[in-house]
Amino acid sequence: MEKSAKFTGVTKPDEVTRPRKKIIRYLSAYLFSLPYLVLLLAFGVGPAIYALIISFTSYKEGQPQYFAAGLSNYSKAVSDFRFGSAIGNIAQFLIISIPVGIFGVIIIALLLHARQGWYTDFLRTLYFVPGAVAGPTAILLAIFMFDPRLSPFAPLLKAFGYQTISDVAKLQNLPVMITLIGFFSGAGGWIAIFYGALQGVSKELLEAALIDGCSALQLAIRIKLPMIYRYVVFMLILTFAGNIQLFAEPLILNDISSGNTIAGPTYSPNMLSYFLAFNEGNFGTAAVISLLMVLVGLLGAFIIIYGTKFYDTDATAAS
Amino acid sequence: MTLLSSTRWRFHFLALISLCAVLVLAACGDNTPTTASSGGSATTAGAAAGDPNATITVWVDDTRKPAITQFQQKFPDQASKIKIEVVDRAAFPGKVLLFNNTGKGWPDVVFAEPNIVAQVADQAHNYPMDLTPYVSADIKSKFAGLDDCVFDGKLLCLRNDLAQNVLWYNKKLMDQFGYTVPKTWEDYLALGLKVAQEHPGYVIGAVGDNQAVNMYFGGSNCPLQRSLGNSQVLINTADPNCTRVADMLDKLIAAKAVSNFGPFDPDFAKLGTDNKILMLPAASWYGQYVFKATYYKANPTDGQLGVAEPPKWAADSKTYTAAQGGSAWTVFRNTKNPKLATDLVLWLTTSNDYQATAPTYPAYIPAADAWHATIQNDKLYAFDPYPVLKTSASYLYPEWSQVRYDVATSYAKIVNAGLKDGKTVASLMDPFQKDLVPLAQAQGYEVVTKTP
Repeated sequence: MEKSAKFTGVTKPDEVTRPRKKIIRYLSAYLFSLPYLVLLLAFGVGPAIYALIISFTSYKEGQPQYFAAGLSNYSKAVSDFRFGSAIGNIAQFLIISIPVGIFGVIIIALLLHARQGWYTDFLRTLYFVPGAVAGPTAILLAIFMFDPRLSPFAPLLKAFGYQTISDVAKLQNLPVMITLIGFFSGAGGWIAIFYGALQGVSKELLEAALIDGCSALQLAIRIKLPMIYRYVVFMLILTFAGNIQLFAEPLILNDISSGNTIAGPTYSPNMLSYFLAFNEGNFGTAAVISLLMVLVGLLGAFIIIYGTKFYDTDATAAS
Repeated sequence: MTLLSSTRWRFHFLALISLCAVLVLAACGDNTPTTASSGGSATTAGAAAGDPNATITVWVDDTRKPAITQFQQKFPDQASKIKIEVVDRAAFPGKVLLFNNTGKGWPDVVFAEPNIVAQVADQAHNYPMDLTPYVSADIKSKFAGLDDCVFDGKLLCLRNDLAQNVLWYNKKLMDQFGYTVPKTWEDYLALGLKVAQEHPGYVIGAVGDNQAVNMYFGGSNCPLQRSLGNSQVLINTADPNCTRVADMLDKLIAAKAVSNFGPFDPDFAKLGTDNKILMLPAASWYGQYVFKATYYKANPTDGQLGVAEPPKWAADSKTYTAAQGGSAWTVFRNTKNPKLATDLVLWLTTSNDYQATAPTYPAYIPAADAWHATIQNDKLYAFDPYPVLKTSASYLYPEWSQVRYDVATSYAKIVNAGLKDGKTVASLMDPFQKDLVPLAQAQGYEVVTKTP
């Protein structure tokens, strides 16, 4: 306790002797984080609170009756005939997309770090390029990539027996398609982050490992990977929280061929929520499902953070 | 450290609580006027009188924007009272819900398909005005397809244009092959099987997109969206009117006499370019906007496109046809200027000034007769298609009702997707039923499977 105070409690003497300075210090910290806080409250916390209110609201001739619904929206949400399949779809997508994303990024980053030089720098930049294409545009580009008549990967697609885009764009292929879109547009950024983290691993340590007879593979798995595991956890949290919000990809892919649909309008929980709100006019039940997504995201983050001691520093670990 | 962290956390906590309080107060502040104005918008009585000088907002698409401008030129004293907004009407029902929430922002006149009008006519949206008092019986009787605007006895829109399904065919090829145009679906099937034998590669239809449900099942009075009034719908894909279609399509698909692609798939368009489309049951606008603009664009072939009435099932006493689109104008029930809003929609739908040269087939019969001139001498057609289009419009029927659940999307998800996996239409009728019923129930309908 005393020991840790030496490391972290630099302000301890101020607390007793100069409280005003302490307040200024806190205020300046808040001032710096204010822009973020304002946005967080306006577009994160605020809507969540609004959703919470709406989740207890019923509608009479389109007019909200606040707190009149009790828990009925909650029971309607879980008993909705599309709820189970939406949860099943998102689970299927998470099971595919998260391991592919995490392992893909780790492998590429470790490979890049194993052989350094101009070529690696070039590749790292190249991986990053698709990330510059914003979300929906990336999906539109992907549609061309998945079309056996237009795609540069046409021979590969045809080897799978796909002749037209409607052969590819089937419900059962959707999790893989969306995973590929997500990987190619998002992996570059993570590769850059992981690569940066690997650069931070001390040279002495790596040299010592090599002198001790570590192979390149052992070096990557036994030394480098444990040193960057926090970044892996960080990616896991963000990927989980992001992927569970699946919305734009299936919505856009639904229109891949005119007059047809792949996934239908209620494929993921977020799509179901959107459909309930803006098609069926059931804002209350829609709010319940959005809240559920917040809850699952938070829960996932908490489990990962506390399961991996993500925020522990040397100091807190010591105390 | 305990002291330090507790002080810090208290500070954080208080800061967060006060910000939340501000936020909640702000939210409540927003809600107060909402509740106040909701009192006014919940009543319809006030709308009848209105203010003849109030400005109205009109939501249109790009294509129909000139119609409003034309009205403004024709009635300059009203011009400044009309605000035009070009919008995506698919978002209209969702927007109405938001406007109902905030208690303001509704457009006064909206251009939308009757199925969209159906969506905004339920209790949650509660948008459209009953136009009955504003439209004389004489005018009503001169509309074709007006059933689609009548919901529980109320006239909630006026039809702008119709997209009645007809049977397009290639007259030159039919003559060359020595075929006669089928008058019944039974003949259609027989001819399809014959074409598959004698002229493989030629097609007599396309079943690969969701409009196949309108074209074939809608052409058979199959109960998929039959409104029985009082929020009751009849859905029964096992009805003989549905199974006869499934059986016919399965035979034609197996023989490759109909294409597994949709009419808008590039592969199907290629059949058009190669002049392999012998017949195509499709909407009235296909002549101008699909055959001319796509299929025959690369190799313009004048004078070969013929049109026939949609086939009839031999056992039926009359012909049934559905539509692929066709729009209407609807008016907000609490519009501040009901006089101008209703004058506008009446002019838009019935006046030859606009309709006689409108881009698609007018629903108002006298206007359609004037519109006839736009296609009468078009070189695209083998003969004047207007008389057939006009008769076919009279086959639109109220049992193919406008409902709030989306039959076409469900059909695409179940039947089109199943066909791509090699299943038969007949085997997909039961899954289709199971998909439709809860969708209808979620929209507040009571679903029955037999006519009571």
